[in-house]
Amino acid sequence: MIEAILQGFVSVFSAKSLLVILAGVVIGLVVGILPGLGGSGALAILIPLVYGKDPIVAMSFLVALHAVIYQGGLITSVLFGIPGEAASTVTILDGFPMAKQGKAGRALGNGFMASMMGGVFGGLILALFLPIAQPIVLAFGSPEYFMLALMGISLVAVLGGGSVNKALIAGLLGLLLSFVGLHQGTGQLRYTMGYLHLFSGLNMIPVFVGLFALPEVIELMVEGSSIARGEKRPISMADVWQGCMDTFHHWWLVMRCSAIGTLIGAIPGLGGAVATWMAYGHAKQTSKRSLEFGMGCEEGVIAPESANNAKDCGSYLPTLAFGIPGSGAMVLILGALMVVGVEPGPGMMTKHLDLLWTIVITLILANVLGTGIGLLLARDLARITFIRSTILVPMIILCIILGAYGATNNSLDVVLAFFFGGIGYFMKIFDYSRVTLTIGFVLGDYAERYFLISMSGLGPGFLLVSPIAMCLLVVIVIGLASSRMKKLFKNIAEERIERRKD
Amino acid sequence: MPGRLLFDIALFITFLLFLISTLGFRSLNDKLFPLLAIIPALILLACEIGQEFTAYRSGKETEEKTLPDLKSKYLAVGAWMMLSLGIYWLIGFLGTAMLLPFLYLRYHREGWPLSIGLPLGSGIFFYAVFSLALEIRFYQGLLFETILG
Repeated sequence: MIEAILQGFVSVFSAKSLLVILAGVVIGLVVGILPGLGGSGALAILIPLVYGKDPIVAMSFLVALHAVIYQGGLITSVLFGIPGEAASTVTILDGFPMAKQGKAGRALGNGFMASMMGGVFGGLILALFLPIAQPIVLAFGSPEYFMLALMGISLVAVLGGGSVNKALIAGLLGLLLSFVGLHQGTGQLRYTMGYLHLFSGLNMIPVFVGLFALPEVIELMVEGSSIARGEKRPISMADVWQGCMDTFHHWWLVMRCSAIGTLIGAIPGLGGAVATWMAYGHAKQTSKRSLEFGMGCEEGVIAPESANNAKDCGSYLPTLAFGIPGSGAMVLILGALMVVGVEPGPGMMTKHLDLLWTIVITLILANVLGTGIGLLLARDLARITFIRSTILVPMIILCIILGAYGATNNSLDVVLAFFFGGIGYFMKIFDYSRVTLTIGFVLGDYAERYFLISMSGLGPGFLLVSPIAMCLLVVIVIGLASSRMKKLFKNIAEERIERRKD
Repeated sequence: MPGRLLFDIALFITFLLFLISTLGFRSLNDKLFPLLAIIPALILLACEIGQEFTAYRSGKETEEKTLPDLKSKYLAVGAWMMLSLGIYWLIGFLGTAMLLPFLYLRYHREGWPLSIGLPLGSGIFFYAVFSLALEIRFYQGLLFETILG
C-alpha cells in the first residue's frame, strides 16, 4: 500500500504530469465559467483526446479538469447570479447579495478557500476509506435513500424565511414540479401537457437559471446601476484575503459541510444539488447568524462550496471501488478509465493501485491549484460587478440563454428558463421562497421513487428494517425540534428582557 | 386588486389544475405523492387568499414593492425579455449574440463605438469558443432554418 502511495506521488509530481494537471485545471476553470457546458459536457468532449494515452497522464488530466469545474462555476454564481450547474445554485443565495454589497472579492475568497478545503478534505476521506468503502456504500438501500431525501425536504422548515405558509406552498410547488414527466415505476405520464420534451421531466438547469438569474437581471435593468450597488470603491487583494480568513475562521463549519458533501457524493444516485442544499440548510440551522442567511452571509457561501468539492471526491468512492458511477460525470470518468484500458471496480484495488492513488493525489492537488489560480484572478474578476448595467444586461441574458440551451441542446429549455424567470420574479416580490421551491424540486422525485421501491420491496414497515433509516429519522425529528426549540427559547429570552426593561 | 392577491389566486388555480390532472392518473402510486403536495398547498393557499382578501377589503393591504412610477420601467423590462426570446426564436443564438447587445446599447444611447464593438466582440467570442472550438451546434433560428431549408 505505502509503495503504491509513493508511486502515486512520484507519478503526480513528475514534470509531465504537473503540466497536464495544470492544463486540466485551467480548462476546468474556463469550462466552469462558460455557461451551458458543465462538467459532463466538457468530459464528453475531451475524452477522445485521451484515447491511447498513458493511463496516469490521461486520468490526471480528466480528474484535474473535473475537480475544479465548480470553482469556475463559483465565479458566475457570485458575480452574476447565474448557476453553471444545479449544485452551484445554492452559492447564489449569499454570494450574489455579497457582490451587490460590493463584497464580491470577499465572497470569491470565501468560496475559493472553502472549495479547496472541501476538496482536500474529500480527497483525504477518499484516501482513507477506499480500502474499506464497500460496507459503507452497500449499507445504503432504498429506505436509507428515502430518509435522506426526507431529511433534505425537512430543511424547508429551516430555509424558508419570511412567511412559513408561503415557504411551505413554494416547497410543495417544487415537489409537484419534480413529478413532471414519465413515472419510472408505472410508466404514467404526469403533467407533460403532451410535450415530448417534458417526458423526461423538467431539467434543473433552466429551472434554476430562470428562478435565480432572471429576477436579478430584471432588477438590474430596473435599477440601471451596476451589480455592486452604492459607492464604487477599489477592490483589493485584502478583500479576497479577508474572505480566505473567514473560511479559516469557520473551519469547523467547513469540516462538517465537507463531511456532508463527501457522504452524499459517496452514495450513488443522489445528485450534487442535494449535497449543497443540505450543507446550506445545516449551516443555517446551526449558525448564530441564521437570520442573515440569504442577505450576504459569508457562511452561506462557505457551506455549499465546501460541500460541492468534497462531494465530487466522495463520488469517486463507488466509481473507483465498485465501478458504480454516482453521477453523469462519473459515468464519463468510468468510460475514460475503460478507454485507457483500465477496468474499474474491485480489480482496481489490486491491479492498478498506483493509478488509484494518482487519482486521489491529483484530486487534492487540482483543488489547491484551482483555488490558487482563482484567488490570483479574484480581484480582477470582482471588478466586473462595477461595470454598468447597459453593458452587463445583454451579456448576462446571452449567458442565461446559453446556459439553459446547453442543458439539453433544446431551445424549449430557453423558453422554460424565461417562464421560470417570470415565476421567480413574482415569487421574489411577493415573498414566496424560491429556496424551498428548489429543495422540493430537487428532492421530490427521489423521495417518491425510493418510498415506492421501499414499500414494494419491504412493505409498510420498511423503516423498522433499517437501523440507518431509523437513525436518520431521529436526526430529522431532532433537527426539526431543535429549530422550533431555538425559536421558543429565543422568544422566552426576549420576553424576559422586555419584562426587565418594563 | 393587489398583485399579491392575484398571484395567490393564480397559484391556487395552478394547483387546482394539477389536482384535476392528478385525479385522472391510473394507479395510487401515481397519485400518492402529488396529492400529498397538492392538498396541503390548496389549504395553505386558501388561507393566504383569505388573509390577503381581508386585508384588501379593510384597506390595509400590504404595500406592493412595485411603485407606480416604476411601472413604465417594468413594462420596458417585460418588453425586453419578450424581445430577447423573440430574437432568439427568429434568428438563433449567434444572431442574438450580436443583435441583442446592439439594440440594448442603442436603446440606452451608448456611443456608437461601444454599440458596434461589444456586439461584434460578443458574436466573435461565442462563435469562436462554442461553434468552432467546442463544435456546439446552436439553434439557428426560424428565419435561417426556413431560408436554408
